[in-house]
Amino acid sequence: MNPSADHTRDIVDRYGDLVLQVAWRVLPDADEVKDIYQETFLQYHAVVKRGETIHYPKAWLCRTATNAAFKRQRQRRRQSLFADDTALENHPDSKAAKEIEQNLLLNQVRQLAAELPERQRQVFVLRNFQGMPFAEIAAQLDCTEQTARASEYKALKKIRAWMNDSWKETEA
Amino acid sequence: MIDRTQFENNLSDYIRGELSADEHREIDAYLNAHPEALESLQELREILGLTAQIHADKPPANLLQEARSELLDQLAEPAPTRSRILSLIPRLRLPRLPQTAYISGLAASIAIVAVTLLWPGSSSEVLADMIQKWKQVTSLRIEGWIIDAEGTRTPYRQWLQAPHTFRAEIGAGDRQRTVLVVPGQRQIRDRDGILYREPLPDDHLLSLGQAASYLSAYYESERSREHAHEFTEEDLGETVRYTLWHSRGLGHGPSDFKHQIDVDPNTQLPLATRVFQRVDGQWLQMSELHYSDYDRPIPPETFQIDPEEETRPIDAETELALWFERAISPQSAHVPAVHVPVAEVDLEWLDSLTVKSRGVRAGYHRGATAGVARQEFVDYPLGEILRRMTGHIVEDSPLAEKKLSLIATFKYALPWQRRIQPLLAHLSLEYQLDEREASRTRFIFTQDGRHLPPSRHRFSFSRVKGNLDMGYEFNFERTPLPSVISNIFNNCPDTAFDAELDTLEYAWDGPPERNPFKREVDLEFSTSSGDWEESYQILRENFGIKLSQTAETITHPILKLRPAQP
Repeated sequence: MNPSADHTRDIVDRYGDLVLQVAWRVLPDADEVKDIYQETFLQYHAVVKRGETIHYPKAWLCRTATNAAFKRQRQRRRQSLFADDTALENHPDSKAAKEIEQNLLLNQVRQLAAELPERQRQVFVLRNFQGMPFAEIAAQLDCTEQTARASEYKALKKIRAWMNDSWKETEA
Repeated sequence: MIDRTQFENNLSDYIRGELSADEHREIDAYLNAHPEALESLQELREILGLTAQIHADKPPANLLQEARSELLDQLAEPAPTRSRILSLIPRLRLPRLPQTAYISGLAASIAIVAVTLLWPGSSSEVLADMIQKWKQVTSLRIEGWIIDAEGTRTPYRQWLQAPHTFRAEIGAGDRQRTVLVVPGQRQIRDRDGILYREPLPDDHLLSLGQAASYLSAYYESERSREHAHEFTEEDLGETVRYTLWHSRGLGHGPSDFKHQIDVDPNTQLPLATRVFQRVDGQWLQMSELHYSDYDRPIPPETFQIDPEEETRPIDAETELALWFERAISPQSAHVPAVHVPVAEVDLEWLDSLTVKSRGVRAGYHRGATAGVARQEFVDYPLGEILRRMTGHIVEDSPLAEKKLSLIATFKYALPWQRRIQPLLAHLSLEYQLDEREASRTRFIFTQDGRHLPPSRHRFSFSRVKGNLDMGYEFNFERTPLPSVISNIFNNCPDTAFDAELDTLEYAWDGPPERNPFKREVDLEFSTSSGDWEESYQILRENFGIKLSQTAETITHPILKLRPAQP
């Protein structure tokens, strides 16, 4: 293995768990997460191989994995604006039905997060999916803590408003 | 006491219990003083309850090991040879296949390297360059064939000249038809040699820039590629071929259309385009057009209109007869052909299994290509379906509430009465056209008289990227001001604009030569909310646009449904 591959391997060992968790929280599908994991580190490897330096690998990997996961999330959602809740209707067991309903809600949050503007999405994910404090988010995104807080508030309000829309139509 | 901004900025941490005691008390005090803020508190509490569950969700225990192992295998492999274009790509995703399958796949594709792009960064650059090059083109010639309205392969030639002129010839010999567009008018010679002429409105500029908009929306737009069912890039040596297999308008899965463009990697200009359509399960090639003579002068007589020659006006009847010719534009270079319904209207009924498999519960999607409209409805009320097909409001009734799933395809020029006839006949229904009073809002735009700078661009070009309610990116180059305004206005969901009843008007009482609504302008901006107020502010600042509204009572047609009389 060449030196750049050795370096990438170190990075994989150090941040692999983080990348996996980031991807999983956005898109909890084992195959997709493996693809995102691979895509993220191969991109990292390609950059390093070109002789470029990534000064903050953690932030870079986090952002790249998040973007890749949301990109797939959007591809899944495309223009079908309605969650398939037929499983719910067909399930007689109320406890199981409640669980399905809960999962649909969680998926809805993930899908709607994918549609947020870039900055709001980053703050929303880092704070809510990753549990990162605002001070650290601000440092990572090179903004003030107040800006990060304001972005998160806007993101939360938007997602809440979008969740209220149960009937939408698309026009091309 | 803290102000509203401080309250909002700290509210989520208040709910999470992560504020200091002092900060917590400040939020409590604010809530006591502003009981209306309790609603925000409750809303955020619900969302944060969900995100906390997402945060607590852990991937399966063995997933890390599996992913790591596969990744390290990839890192250990020698890098595959990459083509010139592909070398611009930072790193393509390698398919997660067994190693042997991957290597044999590479061996089999020495001549043609085809990769499904899931990371579109590099193609963006190449395709963006193509758009920029195209926008510099002053003229070109296109030649090849298209599938005509009758379903037969027909020779097709087109000459385009900047800024707003083109000539198209469809067919050959005595039966050849021509379409000639010069600023302000269109002339069509039909199969029988009869000449028709019609004026074109000022904002109906058919130009090379319009073709650039099409190219950009299909190939350059990252969003388009993200939403494509499949986007492939093939390095064929002399050319690079991009194929876009579109996704369904509604739901998951592929659509019935593929568009293909060959680009010269040296000049970065298109060399050929093809359109494919799946009809009755079979892929048909609908066109093959080759591009040449870029920037070579075209003889002026190619675009000459003889004002003395006898012409006929275009009325409702000839509009339908010439529907195909009138749909030809510079965009036709890329969308020249489409399968035309055999009957006047094709209806495809969607069963519940098909609908379910596409993951759609209900919705509506429409598209119009080369003069053929396609409207897809899933579990949609009949009254709304008819409104979408006719533009007329349908009276509320139990019949109008009946929900249907179907795809309707028809010639766009078909009168609305004939569009809905097969559907109503199938349902054993008929309609009665009546009138009723309704309130119409006139949205009237004025301008403050300021001088608008001339456009910096040579062609008209416009692009809108974004989603309902979620913010937009607008880019208008050399676009008539009314088009800019209406495009923005129609893309804002909070304007309460009813396309069937309301009007957009542009009022100017100054000298005609200074009429700003006759000007072409440039404007590029993005919004975060997608709300009209945000965009309106931009229009006010840049062009001095003001909007006023008046409401008036009007009488408008309404369709009433009833069972067909025996």
